[in-house]
Amino acid sequence: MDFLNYFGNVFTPYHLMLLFGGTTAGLILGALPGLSPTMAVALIIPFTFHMQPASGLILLGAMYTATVAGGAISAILVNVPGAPANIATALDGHQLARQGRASEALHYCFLSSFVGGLFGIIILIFFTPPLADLALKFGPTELFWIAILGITVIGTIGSKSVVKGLMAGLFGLAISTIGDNPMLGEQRFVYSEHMESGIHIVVALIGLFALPQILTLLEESRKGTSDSMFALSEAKWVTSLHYNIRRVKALTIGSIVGAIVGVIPGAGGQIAGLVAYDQVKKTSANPELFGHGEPDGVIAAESANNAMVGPSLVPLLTLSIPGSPTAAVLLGGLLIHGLFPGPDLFTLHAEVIWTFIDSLIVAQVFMLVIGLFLSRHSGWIMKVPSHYMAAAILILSVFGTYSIQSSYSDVLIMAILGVVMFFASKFGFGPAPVVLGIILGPIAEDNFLQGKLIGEAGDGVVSYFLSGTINIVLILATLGSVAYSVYASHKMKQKSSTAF
Amino acid sequence: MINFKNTEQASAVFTLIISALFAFLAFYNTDADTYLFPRIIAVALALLSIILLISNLGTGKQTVVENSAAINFRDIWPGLLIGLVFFLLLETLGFYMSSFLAFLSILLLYGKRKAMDIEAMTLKIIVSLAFMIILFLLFWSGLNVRTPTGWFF
Repeated sequence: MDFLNYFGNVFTPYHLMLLFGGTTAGLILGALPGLSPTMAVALIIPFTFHMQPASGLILLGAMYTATVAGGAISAILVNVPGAPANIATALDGHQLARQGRASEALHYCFLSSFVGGLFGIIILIFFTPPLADLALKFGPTELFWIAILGITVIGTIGSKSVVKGLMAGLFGLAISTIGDNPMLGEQRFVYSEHMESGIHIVVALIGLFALPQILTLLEESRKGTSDSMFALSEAKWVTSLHYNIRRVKALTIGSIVGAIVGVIPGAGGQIAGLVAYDQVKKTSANPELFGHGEPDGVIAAESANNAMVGPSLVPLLTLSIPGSPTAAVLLGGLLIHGLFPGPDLFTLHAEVIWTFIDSLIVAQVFMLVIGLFLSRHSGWIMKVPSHYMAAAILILSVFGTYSIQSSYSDVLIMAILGVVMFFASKFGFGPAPVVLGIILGPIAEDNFLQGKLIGEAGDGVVSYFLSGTINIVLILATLGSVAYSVYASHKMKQKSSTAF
Repeated sequence: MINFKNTEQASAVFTLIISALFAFLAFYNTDADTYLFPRIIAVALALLSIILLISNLGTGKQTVVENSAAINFRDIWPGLLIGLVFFLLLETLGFYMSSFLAFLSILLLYGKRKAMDIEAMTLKIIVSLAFMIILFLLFWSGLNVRTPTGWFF
């Protein structure tokens, strides 16, 4: 119960002010397309240079927590996820907004984020040693199969058919291979200087989600049916709370999936939301409602991507292995303050680390309160005319893309991907599988090539990839996921044909 | 406006062409070790394209549930043109100047009210300016995020 000894340190006026400022700024920055949690934390690191280590980490932790939740605001309101972790939130959250239930969707988002986030931190506090052991068991083959499982999960999400979903995921994988081969360093598919550094994940995210949305908004504004984006009805947060706490299954699945994915080094939180969404959809009595404004979709996705935050710090603090890109930036924040992660961290710097972890709990409360307050005032965004919103998204998209690497090439790549995606969406392809393919591509390829080398040096590649308990479980889950998706799609087709 | 009578068949043909192109680029005159992973993806893509094509053969009369299967070029081409000019002028004029022009152009060309309405036009200029000033103060001054400067800003 070491964490209780340092709880008082969080409740100083200075630390509470940092938590308030970090959470508010995180929610706002997170809501801007392109300003991912990783970038938001990176932007704020220079401000922590002159702070005490505990104070600096409190600010970074508050930003991390809030940006993950903040990314859902733009996902719900304008269908542009603030970060890859919020892709699953957009699937049903934006549909709810289109039905005039934006504030209700935002309530679900922040309430579920709070539950998931709290669960993740509890896992971090109580299960750090066993989870660190689990994280060490994930070698190249396990990570390769995790990526493959992620790709098969994609097949059921965000596209009109399983085959199209899988194809979109494969197109994403193909795009991810542009640039250097991770093992040999030789360039592939580089036909222009703009493609030399490959395609950055966030550039793809902005292009694939934001540009089609801009063109859709412009189309809508020309139709002239309504000047504003959607009608809006106010929702009481107490009503949303009552509904939310009754969604035990979605919250439980989301929180558990988020915690498990979070602890796996390199898997990244973006997978957590989608895997949780997929599981809740598959176990739902009404899977056909998903993608059309089902609150469980938002609840599962948001509880998962926030439950990931705490556990992603487990391998970081104990093994110096960041569980997510943002955790990697946080590692930089720790090192700047002379804190070297490892088994000794909790003994040598107990006060700083436990104060930091305790502050994450308080940051969840701040995130909930400020988030619910912002939800009440989200209505004005929905009243903004479509073409104003399209213009704002365009400028923010270019700004967000350029600021990643100060690269004009990124802006061009974002524009090309976006326009192609707009036309592809007319053929029933969704952006979510493509982005996930781009995210999972480097994980899959890197670990595939590493596993191949290890296998060739040992008992053979095939036996190396197909042996081991975790590998077998992941392979079975992959096969099960594809089989179920095909079955569910077939069943849904039968249902719709009998309905006509 | 382009309407696809059967989007499923059209998408099957398009994806087959793209898959074949990707397979060609991955296999033709490339090193097997460097291109191993792309080649695996190319084979998987080709297989799925064929499955999609076969599953859509003979579905000419099928009505696919896709309400967005129409591309209305008349509505989107001004937006595409503004975007293209914006991207081309970004480094020459600078981010804030080119963004201001792109923002204002969209407001003038889209929406219900006519661009020549002085009152509406003034409002649109004020909104565009205010948006840029907020963006500048928050990111350039506050967070020190740098954008292309070009001739102006």
